[in-house]
Amino acid sequence: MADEQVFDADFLQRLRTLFFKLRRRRMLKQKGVQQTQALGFTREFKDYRHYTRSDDFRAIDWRLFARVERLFVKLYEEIQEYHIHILVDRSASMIEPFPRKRIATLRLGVALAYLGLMNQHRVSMLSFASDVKQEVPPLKGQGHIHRVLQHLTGMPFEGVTELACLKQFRPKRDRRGIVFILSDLLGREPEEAAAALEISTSWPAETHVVHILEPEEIHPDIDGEVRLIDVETQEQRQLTLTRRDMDRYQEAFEKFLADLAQSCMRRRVDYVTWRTDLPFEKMFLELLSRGSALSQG
Amino acid sequence: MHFQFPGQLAWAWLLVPVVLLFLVRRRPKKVKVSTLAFFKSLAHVYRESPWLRRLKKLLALLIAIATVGFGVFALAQLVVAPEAGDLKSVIVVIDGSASMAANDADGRSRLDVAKQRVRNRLAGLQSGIGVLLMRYDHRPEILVPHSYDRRALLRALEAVTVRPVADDADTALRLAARLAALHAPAAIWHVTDSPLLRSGLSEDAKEAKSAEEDSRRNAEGKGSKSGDGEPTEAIEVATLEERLGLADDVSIETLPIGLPTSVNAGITGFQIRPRPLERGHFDAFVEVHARGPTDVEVKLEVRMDDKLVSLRDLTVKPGAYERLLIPVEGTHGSVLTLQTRAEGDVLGLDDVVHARIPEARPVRLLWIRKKEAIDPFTQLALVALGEEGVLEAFEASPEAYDLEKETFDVVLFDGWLPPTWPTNLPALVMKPRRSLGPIRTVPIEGDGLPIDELRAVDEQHPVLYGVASDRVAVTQTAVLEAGGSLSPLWTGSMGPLLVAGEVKGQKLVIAAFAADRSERLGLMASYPLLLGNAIFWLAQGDEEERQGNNLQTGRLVAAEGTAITWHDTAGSEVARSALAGGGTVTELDRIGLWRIGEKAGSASLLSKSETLTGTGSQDDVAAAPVGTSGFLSGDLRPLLLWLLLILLVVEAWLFHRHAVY
Repeated sequence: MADEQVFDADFLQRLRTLFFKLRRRRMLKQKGVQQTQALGFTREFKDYRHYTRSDDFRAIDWRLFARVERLFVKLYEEIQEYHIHILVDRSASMIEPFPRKRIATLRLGVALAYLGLMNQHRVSMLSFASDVKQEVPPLKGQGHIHRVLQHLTGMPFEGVTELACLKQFRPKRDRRGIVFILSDLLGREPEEAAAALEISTSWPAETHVVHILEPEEIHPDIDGEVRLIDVETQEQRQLTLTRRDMDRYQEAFEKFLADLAQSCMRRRVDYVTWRTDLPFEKMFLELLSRGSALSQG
Repeated sequence: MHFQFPGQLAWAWLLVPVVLLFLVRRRPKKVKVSTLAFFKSLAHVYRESPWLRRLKKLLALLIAIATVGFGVFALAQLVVAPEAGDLKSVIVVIDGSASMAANDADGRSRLDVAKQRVRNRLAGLQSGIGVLLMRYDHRPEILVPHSYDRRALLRALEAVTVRPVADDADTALRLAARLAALHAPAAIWHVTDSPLLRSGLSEDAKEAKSAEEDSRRNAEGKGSKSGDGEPTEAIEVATLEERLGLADDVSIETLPIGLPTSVNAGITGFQIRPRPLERGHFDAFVEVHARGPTDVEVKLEVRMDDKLVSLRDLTVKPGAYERLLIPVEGTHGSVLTLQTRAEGDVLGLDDVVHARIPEARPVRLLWIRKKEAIDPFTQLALVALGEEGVLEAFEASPEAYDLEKETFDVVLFDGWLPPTWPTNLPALVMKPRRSLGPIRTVPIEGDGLPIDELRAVDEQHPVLYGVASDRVAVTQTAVLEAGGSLSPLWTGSMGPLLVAGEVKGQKLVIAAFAADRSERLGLMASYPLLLGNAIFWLAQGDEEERQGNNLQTGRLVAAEGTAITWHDTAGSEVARSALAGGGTVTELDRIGLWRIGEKAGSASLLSKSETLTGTGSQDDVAAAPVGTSGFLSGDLRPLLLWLLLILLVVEAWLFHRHAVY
């Protein structure tokens, strides 16, 4: 599919609509932006209060003291800023044999970045296959969305998935983070995915694993004598598959998904399967409704 | 190695799609998948290396080819011949003639003994030797073509029955020899009670042959009077192999059946003739033969319509005969029965002769000639024949020519031909001057051409019987064209002048010479002999009719009808068989009185060879094994079918044992 179709004008319009929908929903919930009652060090003035001995004397507003001869200290509004890390799987299996996985992944990545930038969070775009690569440096401000778009459009999908490379990703502890992993999680062995996600427990961030899946990966329509080719490793295997074999395949795949979900739950990692045949907006709203900090604005 | 049904090898074309499918078989579909991890876990039991896969494919091809090959070979019935020098086939020739019904001893017929003898032989015959079963009486009949199926062979052997017909072993053996040559090296097992032994005709056979010759002559009124059975002419003695023209790799073995000491007496010759000028009186000529260790006392009963009218006691020496002329009085349609009775008689089929009393009338000849063209020699000959009461000649001028008015047996056109050729009567044409119908002639101008030396082309023809052709000189009046079924009998310098034959069912004798202008013909006995021969040969079909159609079994009878019915002497129907395809010709295969439509007659065995046979033994001798046995010899069909089944099982195990759908 052409890149123009991945991020066309219609998609961006739908993204904006989605954003306004989200904001309205937040306002209805009266949650507000991520403002807290705690004093912060940002430059956004909030109020005055009487100076107490435990207060830092440097916070005294001497101008006001000169006018009213009473000691007041300024209260500043603390605004919580998140660092959103979006890790996109750029292995070959994300584009072959089902290109819809790439489209879904890129659209989801852009939507998350857009949401983060619009809410004045820092957004980092990373990719991984056999190693983790910083695609876009941390960005802030909605004006950077075009840069994100431009970069993702040209991002190549190739290589072999080495989920163990997620160990290379170490988000800084200077601000709270939200990590989104967008991947099909198909490595050399089914057990590899759960083991690789173990590292997420050490990240100072809430982690969301979005498992991108093509329906045909769950229910492949293969029968008879076939030569199977692994798109990542190019390994070939000639088999004669029967319907019973395919039933067994489906059982194994569903077990893989169930084990993965179980493993993520144990590690307090949000896990969601993203089927490429379902509507994007529905899936995206469902993703944000799972209690992500990002959805709080 | 050869195939019984080579036509079935055409199924081998099935190998073409098999090989083509292997060569241009569909490659496995290439399917790209995100990961092989799940398929690997799924297919761990099928894991096989590429070389093993290629080997299995090659093996699958070989199995398919072998399966088709074995199937095709089984269909074509592959037979591996035994080792060189061994027999490839055996032709069993079993005698099914009347004499095989004789019960020599222990209540078993000769045919039963013959069957047992063949069964014993077949039991010792190696399975790779093909067997052809043939029975014969006066004609051979192949019951089982060259086959390795012993069961079918034994079934067919059990079904062999005796027909009350004389045998003709020579014809059967000649056929057997030709069939054996097709599957040589071969052996012919001839199971018979006939005295035909390896070294040619036996003494018995010589005797029988000479006696039959005497019998024939006697019946014709020219025979010897002797009754001692001495041969009257030299009999050609040749080995059986020479007579049959056996190939070097074909041998013949006679398995003789029937005790030589058995007693049998039977009627071997019979003819009934009206007495000249005595209406209602007949002479029955009877010939009785007997065999046994000593003289055989025979009682001959003569019955007319089942009433005993005469009884004769005869003493017949073994191998000799008694000939009698028995006066008989009866009306047309009455049934004369002759029956011999002898103590210890082993064969009943030759004891009885039934005969219908014929309508007593001579041959009726219509002689058409121009009044002025009378030939005194022809007239003299016809008068002489008429005096014997065997011919009734009617003279007519061409103006009075009308074949419809009277019933005639033969028409004689003497120097004249009708405007249109009559096709309903046998015709004797003398001195034809133009071509008409089947007659093709070129007249010789003038008084004709004297021919001093005639060449007799076919001296054995009945028309020339007794005629001294080499002493005859004639004047040829026309040159005849002998084409098609007319064969020349006399030929002069310019061409044929006497032809005879049958054209479209009409018998014809054409003589293109003038007796009155021929030197040394008119006054010779040859001329009336020739004329009489020609007339009686032309009337031969009717001659049998006049004598009551009392025929030998095995004869073919031409008559209009849908079925042949058999009757007893009281006239009651005892059997009926439909004529195949509404045909007009049927074979007489029973003894008794028959009727087809309007035609009636009788059938009797009347065979000296059947009466006098019996030269072997009744012992059931277990035969020594014939042929060498081997695992890969003989009919390989069962082996091929087993191999095919094994291949199918192997193929299923190799390639389908995991496939559970």
